[in-house]
Amino acid sequence: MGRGLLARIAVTWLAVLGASGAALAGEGEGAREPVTWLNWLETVKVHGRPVISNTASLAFAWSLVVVVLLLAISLLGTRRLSLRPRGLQTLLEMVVGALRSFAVSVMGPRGAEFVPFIGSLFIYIAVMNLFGLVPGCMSPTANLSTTAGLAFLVFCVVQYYGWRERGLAYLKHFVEGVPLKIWYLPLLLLVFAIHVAGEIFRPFTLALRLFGNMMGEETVVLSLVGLSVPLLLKYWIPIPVQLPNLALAVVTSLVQAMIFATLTAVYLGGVLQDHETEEAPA
Amino acid sequence: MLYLFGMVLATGFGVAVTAMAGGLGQARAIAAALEATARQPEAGGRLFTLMLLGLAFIESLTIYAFVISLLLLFKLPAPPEVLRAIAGK
Repeated sequence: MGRGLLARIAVTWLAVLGASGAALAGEGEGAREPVTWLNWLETVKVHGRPVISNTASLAFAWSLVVVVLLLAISLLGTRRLSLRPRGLQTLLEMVVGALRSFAVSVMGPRGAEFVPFIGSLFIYIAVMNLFGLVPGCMSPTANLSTTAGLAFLVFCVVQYYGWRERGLAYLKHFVEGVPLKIWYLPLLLLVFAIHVAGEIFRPFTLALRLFGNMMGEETVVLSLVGLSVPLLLKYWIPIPVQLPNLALAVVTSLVQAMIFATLTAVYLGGVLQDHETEEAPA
Repeated sequence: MLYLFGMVLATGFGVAVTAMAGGLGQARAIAAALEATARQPEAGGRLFTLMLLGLAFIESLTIYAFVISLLLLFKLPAPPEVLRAIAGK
């Protein structure tokens, strides 16, 4: 009993250490290009040019993997929809219910219309973030291209709904709090400029926040693996130094996805009609 | 030589100073959340969510500095080159 348990613990420990090491493969400084299961696509050539030539296209390939995975889960779960759910449908209903209550709590009663958008954003970003912790996979959000694309999407959606909800009065929303008299023109222009700058700043902060968190977590775990793998290879001491940081990485992945979804909900709530609270933070 | 000196200092102190200020800001947010939860424990769940949200905002400022630091870190030259620069100048 004692020896068997010890052997099992040792094997599990070594497996976790080895797996994490392989995940962020490339210990040591200067390991820029991630080594993943999809790296062989760099040798695949279409019309003479490789399919994947840099990290951004590798991130795109991984985001396609995430999309295919989510599609598969959704299709499997909704194959035989019934009023009395069984199996995967129960899980999906729980997730959708939680997202719906979350969207309504942030945006008010109009939040129900935006549950698909905000919910998809949350699930997509959460799964993308968590992919980076699986051995041999990389999180597409650890690349600025992916997060910039998501932030640009959110910006476009918010502006579209803003214009659609209020029409030309959307511009009046920019100069809230200042009376619309002609002698207030300098103040009006100043407030307008500040508000426009704030609006332009939002997608940048969204993208940089998500990218910085994901790349930072990845880099920290990589550095710690760089500490523990030589220790294992030379002296056969298996100390997975990166384990606490891996656990923290799971938490920050989910939290960052929630932050992104919450901010999107707050920005959308700010441009919808009959929403009488103060401006959303940048 | 001065360029290297400046770059190394910026890489090191960038995150350190920002993290210090960020830590102070987050301490205030957590203190307020804890106090509010002590006053009204049944609002604890909602307060926890709000606290996490506020913490992530403050954290993102430190993350910006961290990203700059990482960019600089990958531009630092290798030690032989640095030693050559120190010896040559």
